[in-house]
Amino acid sequence: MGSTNKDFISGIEFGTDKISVIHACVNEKGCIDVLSFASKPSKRAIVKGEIIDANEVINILNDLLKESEKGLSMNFDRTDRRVFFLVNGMYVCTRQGEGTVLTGSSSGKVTRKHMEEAMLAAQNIVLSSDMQQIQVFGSYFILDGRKRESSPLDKLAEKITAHAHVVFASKKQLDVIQKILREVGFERDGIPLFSPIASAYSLLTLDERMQGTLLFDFGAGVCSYALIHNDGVLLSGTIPVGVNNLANDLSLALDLPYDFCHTFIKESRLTRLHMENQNYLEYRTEQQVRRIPVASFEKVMDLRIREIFDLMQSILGQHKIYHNFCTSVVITGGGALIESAKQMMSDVTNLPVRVGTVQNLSGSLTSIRKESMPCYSAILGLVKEIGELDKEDSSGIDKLANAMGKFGEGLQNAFGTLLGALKI
Amino acid sequence: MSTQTLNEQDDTQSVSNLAENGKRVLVLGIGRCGLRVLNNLPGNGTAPWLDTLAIDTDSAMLDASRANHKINASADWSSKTSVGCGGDILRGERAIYHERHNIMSILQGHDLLIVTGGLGGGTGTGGIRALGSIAKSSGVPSIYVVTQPFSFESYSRRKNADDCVNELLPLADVMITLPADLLFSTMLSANAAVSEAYDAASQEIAGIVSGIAAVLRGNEIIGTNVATFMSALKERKAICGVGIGRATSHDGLDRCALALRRMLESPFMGGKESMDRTDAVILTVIGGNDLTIAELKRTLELASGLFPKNIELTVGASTSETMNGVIQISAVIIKYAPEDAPKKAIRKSVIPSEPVLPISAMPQSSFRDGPLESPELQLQIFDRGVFDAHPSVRFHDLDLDVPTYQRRNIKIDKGN
Repeated sequence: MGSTNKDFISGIEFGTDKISVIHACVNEKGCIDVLSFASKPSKRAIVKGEIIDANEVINILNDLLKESEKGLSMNFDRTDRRVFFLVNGMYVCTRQGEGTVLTGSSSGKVTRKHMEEAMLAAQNIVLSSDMQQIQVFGSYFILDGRKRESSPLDKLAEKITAHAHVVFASKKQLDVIQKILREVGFERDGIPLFSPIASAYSLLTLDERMQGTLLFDFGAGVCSYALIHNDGVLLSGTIPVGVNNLANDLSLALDLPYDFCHTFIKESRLTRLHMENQNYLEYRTEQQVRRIPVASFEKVMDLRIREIFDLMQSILGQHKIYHNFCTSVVITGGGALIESAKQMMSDVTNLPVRVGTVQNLSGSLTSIRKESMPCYSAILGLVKEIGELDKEDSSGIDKLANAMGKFGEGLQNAFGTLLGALKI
Repeated sequence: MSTQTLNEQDDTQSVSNLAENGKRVLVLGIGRCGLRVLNNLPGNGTAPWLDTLAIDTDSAMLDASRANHKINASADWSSKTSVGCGGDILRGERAIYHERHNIMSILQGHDLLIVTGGLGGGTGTGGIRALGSIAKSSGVPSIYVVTQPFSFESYSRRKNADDCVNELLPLADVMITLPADLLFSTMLSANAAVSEAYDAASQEIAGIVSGIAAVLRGNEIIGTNVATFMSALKERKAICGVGIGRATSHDGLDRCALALRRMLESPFMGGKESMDRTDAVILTVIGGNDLTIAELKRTLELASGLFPKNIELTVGASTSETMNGVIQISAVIIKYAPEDAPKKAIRKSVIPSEPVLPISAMPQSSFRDGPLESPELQLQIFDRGVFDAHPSVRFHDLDLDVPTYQRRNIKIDKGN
């Protein structure tokens, strides 16, 4: 192991738009210090969150790791490091599980053991052989079939039902990622974390998590969401459309090159045209100069963005009870920087909306412009989430990683650590 | 008759202060139909709280308009001529977007925007679509009172109008779509001149616009604000009928019954048949400081009794100093499109509606009738662009890699 610092966190994001690597640690005051950060475009090696060109990803990741390790003031030995990586895409699924346990104790009180057993039972979801469970989050407990509690310890009840939010992913895709990590030098298996939930726990305030907030990550390849209520996860998932689809729509609608449209959105050129009161955009080619109405850009983008938010609204509507638990929306990701996105989300959901960026991080973040922070919410959220979890469990990141790795085996000790970490 | 004041606000406000203290309404008329409506507004739109804005691509039409503000939108960027857009919706849309900055600056300082125009043509249809986006970005609540073409107008005009309604629905706060054919139901005879039909439509719509503005400006007693209309009409496709009836104290002892009768006789109400087929009704009463609780109660009871019991009935009342001595009853009757209608439990019969014939009883056809022709399906070609090489991922029965505008068959102006 290169470093004896037990609180050292390494994270990788395999995004459709960019691949990012981050190294951070928890300092003496308990705050997260980013030691180094590097990011590079994915060059279409990843589509909608799925890796389609593993060789290209390996090349990019190698460059990123070399660049990020230069910024570290210590020797970084990949062979003994365990790295966290974010998963996001249609190969990730989620489900709500339910497990019931009778307390049967003489005092009638709910003990920690009852909670753990109920949670273990809740995770027993039958999966197809090509899927693998990666994370479990507590949603809530119900006592005696009628009373909802987020922390039922020492409460009186004859029966306790745990509701858990289980995340699972395609084994094939996870194997591809683990192979890539081994190729670049990590000998230990990486730990997958579902991207929107990582973002949610870092972007949302405690009040928002308690009252019920929907986190919507408007990414390049896919949009992902997580609904947090009473500090538990009620709903999460992915919609297979993102900012790249917006660029594609503009390209087809207005006969423009895709890369031009992608840059148009990324650099918020529409906002600039509005500020300059321009009614049309002049596009020059070798043969001609075209004047394209600004309104056409607006219309194409508004149609797509509204459709995405309508889909989100219909998903909330399908899970009828969840709709009642959503009091606000936080949008993040590159799509959150689009001018009309925030207002449109507010119109569609009739809820207050804000743009989320990770706060209370310090260190080597000079490569990220402040305005672009929402684009990196997921990877920054990852270190913040792991760092915050580690603060509560003083045994260090490695023990937490071991706990997560042994999760499927349901060992009581491992689960005890996880319960504490997941704030159930 | 006792004069019991229902309004708790300061009664000493004079009419001349209404421009400062009350809500300011901008009525925007677009296209030929919209400009005619503005010219027919009661009092010529001279009330201090009312502003009028006329927009057209035809400069000759604009010159004849009596609106406070006028915008001459050019459909042709290069020549800047203003002779209309020739029924081309995209040109109409482009012309209005070109004037975005002017429109937004005139919108400033107004609390409510009412847009009126006729759908089907170029300036009206394209322009109203553009206005939807502009008004949305300005943040001013917007109500659209638009007409659908007469049935004798061409199919393409009616289709354009329908497409415009579909596009405008997500952008408009309230959309009141009036079929012009309703005028035939009560008002026009078969011998009426064509110009008379259009003039009658303009006058009626002007009355409706003025009536709605008065309702929304009044001091609210029972919910009669934009939110009331929005709850019934926001993002729900519907065909509406509107009836406005007014009566003054000089018209007789029972001004309520008289106003109610006049409301029922309104051409755009569509008659008893429309009222029986309705899904929802917004019924409002507006009066002055002399409106009594007994009058209000009686009026609302009488009016509510006219409609079927199982509909969504929203009732409102407000007062306004400009309505002293006058009572106005207005009804917006709403028939939702089938996909937007409230879901009702339907018990389906297990008995088939048509008898099932045995094979032996079915008509026989022979090869002597001629070769069988297989009709060709006109498949729509969707272009997925950069996602063409990737397998499609369906989500909620949609191929999201196909652009939204393609799937919804919406035309986009590519410029020139």
